[in-house]
Amino acid sequence: MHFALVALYALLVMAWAFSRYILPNDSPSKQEILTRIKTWGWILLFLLPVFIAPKPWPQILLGLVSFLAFKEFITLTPARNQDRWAFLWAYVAIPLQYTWAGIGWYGMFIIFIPVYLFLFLPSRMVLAGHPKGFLRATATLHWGLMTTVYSLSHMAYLLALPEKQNAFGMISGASLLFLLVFLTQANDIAQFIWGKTLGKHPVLPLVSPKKTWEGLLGGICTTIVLTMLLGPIFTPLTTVYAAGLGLLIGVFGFLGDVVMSAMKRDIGVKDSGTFLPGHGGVLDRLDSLTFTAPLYFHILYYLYY
Amino acid sequence: MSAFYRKVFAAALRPMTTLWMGYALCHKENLPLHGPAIVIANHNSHLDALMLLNLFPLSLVPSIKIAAAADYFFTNTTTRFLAEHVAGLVPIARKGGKDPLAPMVTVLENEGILFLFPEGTRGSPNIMGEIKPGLWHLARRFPSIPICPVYLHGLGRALPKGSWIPVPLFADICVGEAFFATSDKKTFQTQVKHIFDALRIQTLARLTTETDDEE
Repeated sequence: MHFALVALYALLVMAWAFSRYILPNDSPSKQEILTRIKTWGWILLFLLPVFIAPKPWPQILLGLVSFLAFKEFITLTPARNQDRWAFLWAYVAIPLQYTWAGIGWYGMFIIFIPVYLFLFLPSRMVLAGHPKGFLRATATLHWGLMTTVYSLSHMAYLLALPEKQNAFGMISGASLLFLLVFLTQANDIAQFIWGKTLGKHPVLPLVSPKKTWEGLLGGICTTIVLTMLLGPIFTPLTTVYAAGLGLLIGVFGFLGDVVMSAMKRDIGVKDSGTFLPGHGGVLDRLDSLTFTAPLYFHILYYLYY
Repeated sequence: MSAFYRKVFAAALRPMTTLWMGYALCHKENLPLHGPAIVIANHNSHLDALMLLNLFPLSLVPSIKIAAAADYFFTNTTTRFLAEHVAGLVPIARKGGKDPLAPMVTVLENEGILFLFPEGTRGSPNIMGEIKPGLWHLARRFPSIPICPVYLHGLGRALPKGSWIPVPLFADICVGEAFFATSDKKTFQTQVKHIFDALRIQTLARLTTETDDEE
């Protein structure tokens, strides 16, 4: 675990040195890539306690990430003034959801937002008494909660899973979480790099014109290889299952990304925010994770826990 | 003592303004570094003044005064004490009275930074109301004091009139270049209106872009 974190920092420094000294100065995206790598450094620094600090710090920090992502989502989407209280209640759901994850109350964790808040928030909204724009308001709010809070909170529940033995030693929840975040982000970066170098044919030109088939397929293959190499070390997965998981992360990481792009394009914004220089908003960085986190969790949970 | 209360108040607000709310700021370099100066902003919410306060270092906070309606904030002894010594408000009589500008003139004469909402009231969210003549009357007396315009977007939605708990939302703040008073009232009011229109367009343009995203 600690070794993996050190290796990741080393990788980041190497990426920075490469972009700084080897990329030609007239390369159009050089400055952008450098800003982006620098922001990555900050993200990793922030994530460090998530992997090594004792409970409840990881849950608090991950909850904070959900809070920022949900706040960005709420800021972007148009809303009715009379729904203020429903929004405030939705925010209250964030610490509760991460509490269920922290104490490992699986039943509550898994239904709290999809069932209880699904019933509660529209009830609170209807009490405001205005039917105009009701469906849009309630659907938007719940979709925001599902993606930015429910999906992402699966990262925190990974930490509550019991330790398991694999061929390389004891596997803790932190190691499962590490691999999820690493693979999802590596998949994003791999798709970006394959797309930049070979990309020609856009997959969804109206949604995200710079996403190409070359980037997508290259990224998926890279992610499958990475998962087959790292899966058996960081998780109880066998190499064969790891290949399947790599495929799913590659495909659904892409889908999470373009779903958020479609949402942003529908609203008419470029980035979800300005929180992370070079990346955009928190949501721009987490878009793939909103899809991969619950999938990764449930596959491991079904197979081994 | 007042300066101490003011700093504590401003410091205590920072978690609310930066973590609970949060904002993106453009052209921070246009903010005045010292008094005397007038900072004007559009007004939709009680959060406006608190956000503006957050843009300045704590060391400057005691010299900052916020023009506020006397009939709203200075109603009894307790609110008067809190308004004056903790929040740093200066009372402006909205109706009648002798010289309603006098408290603000004092602030500027003492080389303070004055926050003024030239619309005079919070109005409707994200709609700029009429620029009241008060700003011109004040600025005309101090033609060499810079007026710094700040556009605040999104706070009216977070804490509209009549509500007390802000919904966490990211705000967008844009600081414009300082300008000075002109001798004609109408010209000045039109100028201020144009400046805010330009700032609003600049702020919204940063949010909505038709150009394609990478990745």
